[in-house]
Amino acid sequence: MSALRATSPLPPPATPQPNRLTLGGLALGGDLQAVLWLAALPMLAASVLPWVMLRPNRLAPGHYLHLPAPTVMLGLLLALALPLAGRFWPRAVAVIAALALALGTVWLGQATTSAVADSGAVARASASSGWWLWLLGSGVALYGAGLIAGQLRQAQWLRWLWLALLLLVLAGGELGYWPGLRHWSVVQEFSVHQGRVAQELGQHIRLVLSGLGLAVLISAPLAVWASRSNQVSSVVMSVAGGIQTIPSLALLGLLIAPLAALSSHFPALREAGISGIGTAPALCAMTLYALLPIVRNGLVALRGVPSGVMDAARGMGMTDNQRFWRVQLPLALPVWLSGVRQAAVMLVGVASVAQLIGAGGLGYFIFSGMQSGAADLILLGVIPAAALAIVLDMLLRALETLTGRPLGLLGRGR
Amino acid sequence: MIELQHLEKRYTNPQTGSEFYAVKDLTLTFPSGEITALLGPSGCGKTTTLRMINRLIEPTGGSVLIDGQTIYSQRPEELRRRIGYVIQQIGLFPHLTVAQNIATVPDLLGQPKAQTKVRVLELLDMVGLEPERFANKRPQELSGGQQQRVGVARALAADPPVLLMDEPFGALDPLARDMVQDAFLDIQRRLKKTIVLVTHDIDEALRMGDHIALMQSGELAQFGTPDDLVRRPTSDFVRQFLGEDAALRQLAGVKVKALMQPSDAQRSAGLPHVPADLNARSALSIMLREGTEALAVVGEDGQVLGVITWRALERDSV
Repeated sequence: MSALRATSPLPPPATPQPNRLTLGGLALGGDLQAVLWLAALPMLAASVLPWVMLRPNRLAPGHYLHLPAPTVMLGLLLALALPLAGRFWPRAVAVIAALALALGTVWLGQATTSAVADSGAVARASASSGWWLWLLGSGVALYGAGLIAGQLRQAQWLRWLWLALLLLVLAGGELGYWPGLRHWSVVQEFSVHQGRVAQELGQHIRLVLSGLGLAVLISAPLAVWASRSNQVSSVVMSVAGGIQTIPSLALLGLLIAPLAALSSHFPALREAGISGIGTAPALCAMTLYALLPIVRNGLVALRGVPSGVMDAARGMGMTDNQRFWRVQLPLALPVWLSGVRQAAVMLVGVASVAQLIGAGGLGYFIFSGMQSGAADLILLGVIPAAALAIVLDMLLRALETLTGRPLGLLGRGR
Repeated sequence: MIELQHLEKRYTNPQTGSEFYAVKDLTLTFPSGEITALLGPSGCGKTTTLRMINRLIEPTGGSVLIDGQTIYSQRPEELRRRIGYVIQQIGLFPHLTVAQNIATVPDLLGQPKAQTKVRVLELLDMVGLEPERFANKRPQELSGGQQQRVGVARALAADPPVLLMDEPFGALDPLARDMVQDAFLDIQRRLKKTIVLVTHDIDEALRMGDHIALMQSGELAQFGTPDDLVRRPTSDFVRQFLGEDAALRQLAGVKVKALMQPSDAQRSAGLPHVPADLNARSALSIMLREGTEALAVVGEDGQVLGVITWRALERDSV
């Protein structure tokens, strides 16, 4: 990106530099071409690799199936079109990337449908290396298209073409224009476990948000306290850092004994639902893990407020409270929030382990999938968890931008 | 009038128990309605002295009176809201607009919003920033000189009788500094605030100060008018600190139009022409170069306004 921006606004005419393409006064750098090749290479490999693994039933060993030859050819062409488009017509990259994603989805649907059609009713057709590589390649291509859109500063709707096409394809499957993805093993697992997925996703979100909320409630005063004293900050930071070094699994295990002891000694706690296993230790562990990023960013943010600004606030007659609420906190908030965001994304991962001590969450599918060797079941946990992490990240990023906007450059310099 | 009486700030090193005086037995009066430059090398205690006036630092001995009243009878915040404060890093609040920045102290004092709004526009106008253009900008959209003007406007917002300025123009480039200093002197001519200006810049002190208090190692080396310090230094330190060309530096802060005498065409005939807003030091240099004892001062339209003579340059400093 930076290399693109650094190019002169007036490139010399008729003598394009190597690795650079001049396009109506705009130069696209070689690094962009590299991104497109990084998209094309997995897609090339994907075209010739098997796309489907067919098993006679959910747990039996299976065999691999390839795409039909015309589709393979189309896939290879689509992959090669990416770097070519980048070279000669950058705007087409977004179209090709969107097509690749939509067509790949259609191909998976067709391949799984035809595979299952030839076998029994309990046969499972799961996606294989070809599809996953294709997905990776399309994703990288979409990223490259985003970079190009950022450079072109026009035709911004192209950025969202992929989403429109994908939704169109999925809707077409639902309406019966093509078989859709209903024979893909993950979708089949989903239709079996639909209710459970919603339930565990809900539990996952509850765990993450309550852990995050508790951590913010504890971290905020800690960070403020630590920002005012070097002794406090060194103690707080080493404790929070120490917690972070304990593996999440071990921390969950370590919390069982003390919480179990507490609940057996104090019946009131037991009645409140606190015991050695279940939600209570999971929440404790998640809160402890989230402390470090929130306290650390809070400390950096609060101390990073320019001393001149703080001195002026004091010199103008603000009390300590006024100075904190009116000056220090508003200026520190964007950086602090980025710590909350890091914690949120991390907690989505930690919450997946919480199933091991009976706290539920999407870990349920991951661990039961691992126990039964059913990769599709694992995906049923992994896909919503990843989506949850991405959505949380986006929401909190938007909040950061919102609080950082009044600060202009200050808010963006991260 | 600000009176410092035997003011002292002593720091004790907790490890060795040794004591260090940042300010020692300082007795000094800053006259009302005038600018007093608190001048000295870095580490001489001038900033510490300034910060003891608005109680950002509490003294270990002595006291400060403003208009005869002790400053320790009210809460420090109350005191500071009645004293304007301008610092080198400007210290504008980056998350607030220019107008909100200027309104800080009136808001803290609970003054009516409508009244403050009018006051803000008035102040912007006074410091030479178009109110409509600048009121809703953020500080980081402004140049250094513009920011410093906002800093001055903010300090004046509640119309405090006293203004404390800590190297207020130090971060500006020479051109912007000259302009902001001029603008500030203009404002001061109208407002007649009691101003304490901390600076290590001799030119700034000579130019801005009605009086100069030169400090050395926490003590007062000399207090007087710029002329006193340049012509009648009381110690070798004062002489050395101002330097051998102190008289020239003093001239640099004066414009020839302030020193010229009215003249007729006959008297100015044949004299080299200099513009009216040239500084007197440059005029002296031209006299030396041209081998003349007088120069004709002309306005922008080329009209002769008067004559500046060697005697006038000499007398200025008396």
